Amino acid sequence: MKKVYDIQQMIEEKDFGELTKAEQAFVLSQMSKEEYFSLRQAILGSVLFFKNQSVAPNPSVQENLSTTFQDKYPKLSAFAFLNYSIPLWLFGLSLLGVALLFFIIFKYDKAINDAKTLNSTNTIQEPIYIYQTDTIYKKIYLPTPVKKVQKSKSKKTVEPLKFNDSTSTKSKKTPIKKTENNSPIAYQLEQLPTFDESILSFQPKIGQSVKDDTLMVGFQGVVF
Amino acid sequence: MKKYSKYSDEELMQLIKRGKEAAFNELYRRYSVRMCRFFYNMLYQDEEKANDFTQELFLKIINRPDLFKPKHKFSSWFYAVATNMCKNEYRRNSRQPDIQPIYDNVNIGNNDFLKIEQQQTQELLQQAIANLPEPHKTCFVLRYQQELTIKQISEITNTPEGTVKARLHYATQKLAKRLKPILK
Repeated sequence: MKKVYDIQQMIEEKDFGELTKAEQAFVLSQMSKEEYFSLRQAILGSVLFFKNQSVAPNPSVQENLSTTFQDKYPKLSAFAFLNYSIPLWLFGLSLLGVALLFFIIFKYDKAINDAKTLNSTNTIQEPIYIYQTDTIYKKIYLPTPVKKVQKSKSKKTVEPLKFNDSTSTKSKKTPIKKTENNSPIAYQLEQLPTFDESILSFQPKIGQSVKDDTLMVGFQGVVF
Repeated sequence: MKKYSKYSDEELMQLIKRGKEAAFNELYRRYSVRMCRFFYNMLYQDEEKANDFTQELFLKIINRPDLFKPKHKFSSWFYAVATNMCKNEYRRNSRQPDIQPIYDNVNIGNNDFLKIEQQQTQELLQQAIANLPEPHKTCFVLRYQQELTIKQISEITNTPEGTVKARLHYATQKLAKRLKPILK
């Protein structure tokens, strides 16, 4: 198959000596070697001529373009609204609108104040405080007096409290020997009030009400 | 400006539509010099005219950014606009630069082309390029000055790639023919 050559591309890229035999044969079928040389020199000389050109636009061109650009697309500044002009009638209308707005607000505010004054003369606002007094806040242990049992002779034991114990009736109780105890602790124990044993069956938790009442909340009532 | 250097041309155009001046400045930095040189080579090597046209081209971006459709590649669209401006300028002037025998006033001997003084070479090439017909000159400048691909030129000029190649070859032949006397 016959290869298609781009003769213009060959002239641009290669000297005649750099062409392959097939390319040279193709070129020689189209033109002479001298003609190929002259065409190549014309292109190389033109490229060199263009590269040596030092033409550049004047700085004034860019300045002019910049001015035109800024005129077409003006930058918005914070005080741009100062440059904005409106017709006089529009200005007057806006003033009227503002005045109307103030009038409405003033009237409404006055009506509210009048209502407040009327209310304040006919009513008495008295705060009522309700306190919660029967809630256990902390669990503490108080010293409790125990029964003293005196065994025979000098041996002294402490008998624990027994409830509905039938065997206890059968046992032979040793009469308690009353002895004087003048220690400060014993004295303090005698001074304590009597202990109600039923309390032992009730185990309240912290924050729980002792009595069967409802949780009460403080409120402020208005009395007319 | 540094922030915008990462953006593509198309993204910059979207930002310009939203009034971002920094985006416009970045686009100007990318294209101003090459567009100025394009106009310079297309419009009779007139530097003042090149400046005016560069300004007018960028004004189109400011005033009518909506002309650019995001589905297109920006560079292709931009060059197409610039090319149309050149066409309009030719039409307005109703003249193509007169083709003159560019080598008449050049004193040359039997020196090789590359040994000719650079000044003389530049003058010759300048006249030779300026004298090319408009479609050929457009393709030639876009290819060898702007270094665009054949495909890009095809998109810009809205012509098939084969036509672009043919125009380039024709322009090269024209230049070589005009430069032939100094090559011998």
